[in-house]
This record gives sequence, structure tokens and C-alpha cells, in this order.
Amino acid sequence: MGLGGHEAASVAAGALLHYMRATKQGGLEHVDGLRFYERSSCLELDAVSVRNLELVEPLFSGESAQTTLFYTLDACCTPMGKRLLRASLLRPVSELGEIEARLAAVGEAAADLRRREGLRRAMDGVLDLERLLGRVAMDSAGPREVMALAGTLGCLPGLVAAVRVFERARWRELGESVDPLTDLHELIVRTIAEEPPVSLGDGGAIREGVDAELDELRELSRSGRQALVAIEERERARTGIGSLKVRFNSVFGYYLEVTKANAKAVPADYERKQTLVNAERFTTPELKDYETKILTAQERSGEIERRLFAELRRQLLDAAGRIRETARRVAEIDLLGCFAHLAAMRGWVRPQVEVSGVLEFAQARHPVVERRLEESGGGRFVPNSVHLDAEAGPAVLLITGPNMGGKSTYLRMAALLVVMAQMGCFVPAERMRLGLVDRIYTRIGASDNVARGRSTFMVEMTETAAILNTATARSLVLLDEMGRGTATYDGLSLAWATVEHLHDRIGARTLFATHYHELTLLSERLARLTNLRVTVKETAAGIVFLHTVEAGPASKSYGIEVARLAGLPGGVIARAREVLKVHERAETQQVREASPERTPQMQMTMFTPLSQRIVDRLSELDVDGLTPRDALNLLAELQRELKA
Amino acid sequence: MGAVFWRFLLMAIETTTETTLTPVMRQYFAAKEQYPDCLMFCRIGDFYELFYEDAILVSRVLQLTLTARDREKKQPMCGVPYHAAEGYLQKLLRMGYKIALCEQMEDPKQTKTIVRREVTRVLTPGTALDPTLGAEQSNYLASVAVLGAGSARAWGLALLDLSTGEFRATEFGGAEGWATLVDELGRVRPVELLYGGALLGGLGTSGRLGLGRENGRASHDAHLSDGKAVAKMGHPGSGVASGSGIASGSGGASGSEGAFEVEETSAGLDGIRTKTALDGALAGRDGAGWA
Repeated sequence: MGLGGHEAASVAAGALLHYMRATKQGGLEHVDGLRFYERSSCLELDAVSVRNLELVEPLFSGESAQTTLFYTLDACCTPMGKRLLRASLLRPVSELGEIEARLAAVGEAAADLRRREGLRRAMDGVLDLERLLGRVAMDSAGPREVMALAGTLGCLPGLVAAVRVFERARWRELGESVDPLTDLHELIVRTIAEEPPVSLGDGGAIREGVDAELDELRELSRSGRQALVAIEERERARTGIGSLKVRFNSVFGYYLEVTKANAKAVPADYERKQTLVNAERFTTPELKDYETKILTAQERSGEIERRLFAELRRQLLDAAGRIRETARRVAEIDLLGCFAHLAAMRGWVRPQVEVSGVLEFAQARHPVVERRLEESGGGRFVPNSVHLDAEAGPAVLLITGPNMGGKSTYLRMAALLVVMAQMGCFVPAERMRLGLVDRIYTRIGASDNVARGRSTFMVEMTETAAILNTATARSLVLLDEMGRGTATYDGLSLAWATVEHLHDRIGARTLFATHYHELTLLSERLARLTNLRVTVKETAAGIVFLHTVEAGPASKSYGIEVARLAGLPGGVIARAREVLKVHERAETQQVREASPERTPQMQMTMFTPLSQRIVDRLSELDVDGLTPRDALNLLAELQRELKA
Repeated sequence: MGAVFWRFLLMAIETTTETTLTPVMRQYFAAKEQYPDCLMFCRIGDFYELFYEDAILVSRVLQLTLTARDREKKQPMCGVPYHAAEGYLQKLLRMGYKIALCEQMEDPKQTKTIVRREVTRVLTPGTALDPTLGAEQSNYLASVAVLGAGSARAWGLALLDLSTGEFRATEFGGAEGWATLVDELGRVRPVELLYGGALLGGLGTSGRLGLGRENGRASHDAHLSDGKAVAKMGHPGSGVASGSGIASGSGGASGSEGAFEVEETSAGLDGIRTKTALDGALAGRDGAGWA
């Protein structure tokens, strides 16, 4: 079954089948032929990234699923489509031709409202083909489920026609390869009654005209019942008891029921069967005779119905492979239709995908956040642009700025847009150019795991190690506040070395968000590194986040400002400002002590915004145009600033 | 695994010193011996009954009244009506338990002696379909196998979703093989994971299934000698199978050296409800198997 040479995989599969046998699972006819898959044949996303990017599940279990990309992209009409969407999110494509084929198909459908709606409406009645088939195989499907299967099969010819109106290669392939399964549809409709009972045991599941003997037996029990009605009328007339009834229950069979008040009027040929509080139940030889006839007929017709149903089931399972294949195609059609629908409804654009080191988008929006903002009426998402080029640079974007400023959103947006583009979906941006990505790595946020005895920092370093050990020049790396989980200088040094390694050795497209402003000095040494900052406006009332990203390093971190917004007590804020000043002074001291023979790299790690400002002023100074007195004044001023 | 059964039997012997086991209890223990890691739902008339530790555990997690089968109240018992069992079974499956259904194989009306009882089906999170499963969700049963040693070691992974019939497999090799496997499991998030011992039995027989070529004795032995190394690497479940409340008894990486690595490697495996070591119950009866 196509596993040649993959011994470990076949042993695992064999053990699995063995387990099915040992636990006595019946009915595995619907199980697909075993397929071998390669993890690396798609855009690789490790489990950490899948979780961090909230592709299919929210970061914190129990939270609403609305924060996931799956929720945002799910406009699928069928359960198969939904499952394929979910699977595609976990395994986006890494092959250019496949992506192009999908994008072309999506583009065609997105541009044509009438045909697109025709396609989506054709899937209205399509239920879960795969699971219905599964229930048939496991013998837990009743007549209603089989009829539901027929209903879905009945939609297929219409769906095929709706696909065939499109012209792109992918649509044509799908239109030609979908098996509309009309024979199976006919088979079911021919066999099962139009409105079948829930359970086969209730009788009446098989359509009239399917089996001559069954029809005969049904006629027999029908005429038998008519005879009973006749008996009821006749006996009422004979005994003069108006309330006399012929009834049936499963314990006593058919009986004549007479109320206690009328018990005296009962003729002598009645045989007493049961006495209730307010009624007496009787039978007669004639009634017994009919009872036998009716019950035998019912029993026999039940047998026939079961046999016919089992035959039908067998025929359906013989075609299980065809049904599964069709389900797969329907899922693909649904997913392309879903992408086209999103592109048209939300004004998304077709990404330009190529084989290169470029990642570039203009006026891009984070699909999940944008949708949530719209739904909650929380305003517009502020679009941003990215330009990365692993070859020509900049390969590394270093993003600084305050918390709450939108750094993490910017990082995540970049990754989500790459995932979407490589699934064959259009993207929320004005334009996007993407050189194929082989793997996305993320080191975002703190996932502390105290229960497992692993600290935040340990988790962080494990994840970073995985990135540095396996990333390639084709990868996309997102690092958010790497190094913050430990002592300041340790963290800074690790972040520094990591950026250098990514830049010099790996050359992966990297987005690095950090609070270590010292790192911004790296742009002087690393040719393909560019500084970006998230913008804030300082007003009298405090700071305002503009959520835009622009070139250049951030001047300061505004950590204390953000803390004030969060509602830390005034006393704490004031004291924090004092402490900050002391620390900045202390650092200046260290800078002064830094002896010239130290490597320039080491000095730079010690710089802080305050010292940076003084250095900036000195470097901007026009020494030639300075009078001796001005120079002395400036010196005094700088000294004051340092002591302040 | 066997240890659980013997504890059961001991408990039963202690409680019935003056009398021998009743026929029903003999059937019960025969079934329990076959499926020691399952909660044994034993059909008696209109009820599914549970006994001993099963009864104590189930009465606690499902809030059922714990009664006793004998006058001395030394045989704990609890039960659910068979027609209402579905809800209880689903609840237990969602908690990660495995359940064996021991049914009456004869019509009590047709027989004068005790009816024959047999386990007709084992329900596990990966094999019993949860009716509340969302349309977009998958219900993967995963199986892991390791072959070879050293740099030639390969990790096989098979995935089956019984609700849709999807069945696929892959394998990972090299230095990153184990880490990649764990990551893949974290991404796929199976509800049940099979691993370990029975794969030994599977080695010689997988060829018959047409899954691949016949594996020779050499690799079988290599795997055997590999066993310890695997345990040390922190095979998921070798120390944590008791998470479901059914003690695994299979020891595993509880040593101080191995412990850290278990923590390391099981990081991505939080979502898995049941982890089944295949060595005990299944491998023992592998004789005929397969064909």
C-alpha cells in the first residue's frame, strides 16, 4: 500500500490495525488505503508555532475560538471543506505550481459573483459524506442516515455542473474528476422509502415495489388491520358497547378492551385476558387468528427489510473508495470556493508568489484582529507594510517601541499572511510579494510551564535553540522579546548573539521585536539589518499608540507610561521614575569606565538612551563653528544632564 | 498491566474466603484477565455492572451509588441501566478511560444454566465515535513504532481517524527524529496514542498485511535490545499512562536520569487522552493475530 521501504511507518500502521482487531472494532470498510506522507513536503510549522499563531485553536484553552485563523477563514459550506481547511492550515503548500494553480482558481471565482454563488449554493444540501460513510461501515447508520447520504449524492451532479462553468485548469481538473455517483444515488432512492423510519426495526424502511414478497406481506398485514377495524365495528354493534376497542400491546398482543361499567354486557364467547383498574381485556379465537397472521407477516417482512438493507449497505461499502475519492474532491472545491468568497467579500488580493528571498507587503492587515475589530465595532485596523529580502536585504527587521504598541501583532500578521498565501488564499493587503517559505519559526510570548517544572526562560531557550539549529535561508523567523526571561545583561547578550547568528550564518528572513534598545546599534554593523519602531504620540495626558510601524529605532520604551495606563499606584510610578534615573546614571558610569581596548561590540551593549542622546549631541556638533565659551557651556550642560 | 489484575484477584479472594466465586464472578474475572487495563462493563440483566476497583473508581467519577454484591459488603459494585449507558460511556471516554463491554452471548430465556458472557467490544477515545465531535475536528488514533538503533533509528507514526476513514503514516529519522515525532504529535493532537511493546510482535507480521516487506529477525532483535534506550529517552506514556487513573504498572522512566527527558519530550502531548502501552494485554495474545 505504498509504504515500500518505510519500515517504521509500516510497523506503526500494522500495530494500529492489530489494535483495531484486538479491541474488536468491526466495520473498517470505509478506512482509506494507507498513504505515506512527508512532513517536509509542505510549509513546515512546528507545534509551538501552530499554538502561538493560533491557527486552529486559541492559545488558552477555554477561550473563544474566534481568535483563531481557522474561525476567520471558515466560510466553507461542507464539513469536508472545514476539515480540509483545518488540515491545510497545519500543512500549507510549499510547491509553487500547486499554489499558483489554487490562486488562479480562486481568482477566477472571486471575480465572478454569479458563478461563485452558483457554486456555493450547489453545496447547500451536501452533508458529511465521509462520516455518513463511516456510520454505514460501522453499521450504526439507520434508514434515515442512508437517505441523508442519498440526499447528498443527489447534489453532486449539480455541483459538477457548477464547477464546470469555470475555466481555470484546477476547476477543469476537479470538474472532470469528480465522480457524481449517480448510480449509488439511484440505488438508495430505489431501495429506501421516501420518509423512512428512524430505526430499521420500526418497519417500512424499504420502498414499495422493491421486493414482491415484502409487498405481499405488507398487503397482508394491512388487510389484517382493516379486518380488525371491521371486527371492532361488528363487536360494538353486537354487544351494544360503544366504547369497545381493539388494541395492541407487545405483551398481550391484540385484545378487546371494555370498561368496567360495561363488563356485564360482554358475551360468553369472550375469553378474559387481563383485568385493569377500570377496564377488562378479552380475546376471541377469531382475533387470535388474525393476530397470528399479522404478527407472522410483520416478522417475515422485518426479516426481508433487514436483508435488503444489509444488501444495500454491502453495495454502498463496495463503493466506499469511490465515495471517499468524491468526498476529497468536494472538500477541495469547497475550500477554493471559500477562499474566493473571502477574497471577494473582504477585498483581499492575490499574492505574488515566487522562488526568492523576498517577503513584502503593503498596507497589510491582521485578518483575525481586523475581523474582531469589525465585529465589536472597535474601529479600523491600522495597516502596515513589511519589506524583507533575504538576499539583497534587509533580511532582519529589528522592531522596538513600547508595549501595547503593536509589535506582536505586526509579527503575527507577517506569519499569518505567509501561511494564507501558501494555502492558496488571497490576503488582506494592498499587495503582497512572497518568496516561498520552507518553515516558519516562532518564539512568541511566554509559555510558562510551572507544572512541568520548566521555567519561562528554559522554554524560551529550548525554542530558540531549535530555531538556530534548523532554520534555513528560506525560513521565516519571528522572535518576540527574546531574552527577557532572565537577568538584563544575560538576556541582552543572548539576544545580541542570536541576531548576529541569524544575520550572518542563517540569513533567514527575521522579524525581531525587542525592548533592548541597545540592539538597535547593530544596524551600524550588520548590513542587512534595519531598525523599525512602532509609533507613539506623547501628549499632555500621556501616550497614544498609533499602531503604525516606521523606519528607525525607538527613542525609549515607555514602560513606565504603559504601567501608568494599566493603573499602577501613583506612588509606585513616581518612585519607578526615580529608580530609572539612578540606573541610567549608573550605566553612564560604566560607559565611561569602558576602556578603549575593549571591543567596540562590548561598549555598545552598555549604551542606553540617555548616553545615546549625549553621544548624538556630540556627534551632531559642528566643532569648527563653536566658540571656546560655547564649548564650555555645552560641557557644563551635558554634565548637568548626567547628574540630573 | 498484569499487576492490576492480580490485585483484583487478591481482593476477590480475600473477600470470599469462606465461599468460592459465583459463576458470574468467574466469568467476570476471566474477562478482566483478558482486558486488565479496561473498565469492565459486565452486562447482567438490564444493567451494566462494575466490580471492585472499577466500581469504586466509576462510582466516584460518575457520582453513582456504590453498593455491594454480597451481604458482607466486601465486593464493591455499581451499575448503570443498559439503555442509558451511552451517556456514561461517553463521559468516561472523554476522561480518557478505556472500556470493555462484556455482553450476554445467549438469550437467558433459552438457557437453563448461566448465560455465556464475552467481551464484544473495547471502547477507547480513538475508536469510539464521540457524537459531539465537531464537523471540523478530527479524532485521530495514533501509533508510534521505533526501529533500528543509533543513527539508523527511525520513528514510525501512523494516524487513523475512524470517523472519516483517513489513514496515513510517516516516519522520521536522524538526530532530530524523536523531537520531530513529538512535534508532529503535538500538531496532529491525537486523542489516543499506541506505543511500545506489541510493536515487537508486529514486526514479524506486518508483511502479511501488505504494509511493507517482511521484517527479518535481525531488526526484531535490534528493537529488543533497543528497548531500554527507548525507555530512557522518555517514551511518552512509559511513566504517565496512569494519568487516566488506571495504573500502568509498567514502570518506565521513573529513574532520576530519565525523568527530565520525559518532561522534555512529552511537552507536546498534553491533549492526548489515552496512552496505551501495547505490550501487556495485546502482545500476549498475538499468536494468531493478523491474518
